[in-house]
Amino acid sequence: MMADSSLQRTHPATVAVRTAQTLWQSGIWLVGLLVFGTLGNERAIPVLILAGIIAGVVLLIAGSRWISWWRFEYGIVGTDLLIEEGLFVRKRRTIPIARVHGVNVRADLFMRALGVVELVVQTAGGGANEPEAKIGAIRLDRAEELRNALLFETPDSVAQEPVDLDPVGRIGDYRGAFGGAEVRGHEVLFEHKVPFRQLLLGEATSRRVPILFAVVVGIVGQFYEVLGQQFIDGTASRAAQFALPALMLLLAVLGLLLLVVATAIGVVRNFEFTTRRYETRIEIEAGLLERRQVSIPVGRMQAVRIEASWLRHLLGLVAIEVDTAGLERGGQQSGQMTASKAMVPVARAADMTRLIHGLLPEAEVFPDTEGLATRALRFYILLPTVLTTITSLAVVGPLSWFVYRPALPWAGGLVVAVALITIGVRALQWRRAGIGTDDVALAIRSGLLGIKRVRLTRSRIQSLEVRQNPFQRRARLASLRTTSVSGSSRASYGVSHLDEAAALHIMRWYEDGLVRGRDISPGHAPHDEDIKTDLAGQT
Amino acid sequence: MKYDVYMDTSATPTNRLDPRAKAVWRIYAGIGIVLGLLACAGLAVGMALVDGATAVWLLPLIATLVTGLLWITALVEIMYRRWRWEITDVEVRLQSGLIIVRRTVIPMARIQHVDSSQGPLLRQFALSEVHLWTAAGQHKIPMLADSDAADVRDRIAALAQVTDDGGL
Repeated sequence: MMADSSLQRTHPATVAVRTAQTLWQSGIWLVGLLVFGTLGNERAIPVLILAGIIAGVVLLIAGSRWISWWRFEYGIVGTDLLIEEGLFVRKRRTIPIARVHGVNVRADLFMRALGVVELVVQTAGGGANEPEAKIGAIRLDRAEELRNALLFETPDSVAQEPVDLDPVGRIGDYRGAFGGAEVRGHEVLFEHKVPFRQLLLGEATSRRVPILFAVVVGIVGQFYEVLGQQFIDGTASRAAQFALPALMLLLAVLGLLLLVVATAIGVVRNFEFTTRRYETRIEIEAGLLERRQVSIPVGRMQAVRIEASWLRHLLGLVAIEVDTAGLERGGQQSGQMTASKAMVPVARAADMTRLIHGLLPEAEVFPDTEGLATRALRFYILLPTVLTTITSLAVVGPLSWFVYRPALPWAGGLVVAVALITIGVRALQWRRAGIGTDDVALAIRSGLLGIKRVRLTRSRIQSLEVRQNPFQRRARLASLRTTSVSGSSRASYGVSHLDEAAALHIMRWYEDGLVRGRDISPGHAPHDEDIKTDLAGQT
Repeated sequence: MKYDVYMDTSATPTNRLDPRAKAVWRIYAGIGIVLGLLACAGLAVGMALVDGATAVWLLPLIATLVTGLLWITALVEIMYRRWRWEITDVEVRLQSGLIIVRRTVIPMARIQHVDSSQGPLLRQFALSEVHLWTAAGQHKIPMLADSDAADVRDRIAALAQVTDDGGL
């Protein structure tokens, strides 16, 4: 209908790649596995019929993927990227190259064996519909060509010749970056690769470890329900035969195994994590099996976070993360590509200043933060402690009173322990909490044993809120909360029980930035004068 | 640093909601009371059928009546007095809250679009709500007279035509 001779189809391997993706994601393989598991039962479905059904489903999916591949065409026409797709309703998208913010590249193991990659083009859509366009699979050299054409408007300069390799050879063929050779005028300004030892240490101390632990405990719990009381009793009596040290050893080994698995998953995902700074964007490349390259336009960054969990804090490690607007839309697949918020997943705390200076000089200065007032401490401690104490009392009290009286002192001890822990935790949180501003940014500090610092550029804060309840009013305290954007959702940072005057001072600071941020003709901004006099009154 | 601005004395947003807001909120509270009474009646009947006659259902009944009356008499008035809004050339300032006072600043440059809406009850009172949308969510100015709401909507729409002022 609107066929354009300069448009082309993607690589035919797309059909296989997409079919495999759909099969994997829909979990059909799981159903197949379960049904095969019932073979041998009397009422099992005959193997041939089963194989037929599965083949049918696969063919159906492959057919639909073939149609969408056949009807998908893309190409650069003049100054636009043109995409046509759709079987009955032909959809034509025109993306001006000037509005392309970034190009992400991704290839899983299967795609790498075929020598193809997938491209996601990010446009300046922001909150608009479909801020991303997915093109793929296409050959690696074609992808490099297209990427450079979109990002640097130099289509013919850099594509490297495809190397004729067997599938295994292709898997090992990163050819450095997906980005190919450097383009003149768009040099890498700064590059940082996470050393393997640091990555190992970082992943061993990452959040993935406790998460995996929780998942395994959950799954084991489910298994227990399925296996029934008899099995549990059996296991318990068998376990009772072992000595306590042996059991402890077994648990320790299991824990260690989990740690190794979680670390391995993290290392595979973030293998050779490389962050490069170009003039207007940051590019991240990582992955051992699935190799991905993500570009983040600096103009879309909303906040920079420096985080260290207590373990990392002890080891002198930090992670640098960013909140970016509008880069997490468009389904799970592209979500996987761009959800990575880590700019540097792990680095030595001592290197941090140098890294931020190199990667994001715009955000290298974190305003000094001031701690909270001493009178805020009782707000941090009192209510939460009362609540946790009542809750623990409500849980443990009746149980020990009605079910097993001798345990009463223990229950009492537990309640006291819970209260003491809450007091400790809240006191630490109070000590860590802080806030501060400079000319352009707001910094918020928080944490418990670890520490987290956030830097929000004033112009990127979507709204700011100060709250006060009657108790806070009496103590002249207030809570402050900022709202900004992270991906397609909102991110919120704040400090509780801040000095009331400091909270209002920050609100003024925010409003002052709005006035200075725009040109307003005199006579149209009565509020302008208000703020200036108020600020003058403060200094 | 030394500050001498306090929540009570610093410039509160100037405009109040339309006074008819109180009537609408009272009607909402009345509807709430009726629903609560119905639930209590259901509970009473249910308990009579299952348990024989007990007076436990009196507790929720009393609670419903007391909170309902409290809303209608005092809380609606407090909420009305708390609710303030103001639109300047650069920002929208809101203040709301019953027990917790909440003051919000939304920069004009961050407002992506603005719309107003009106349900059947609000239509009876010629009142409207104005919604302000930023990339991070929605804010609301409730209970404005229709003409005021239209003015507010148009004014914000005109002022919000500001392009993005850059990133980091």
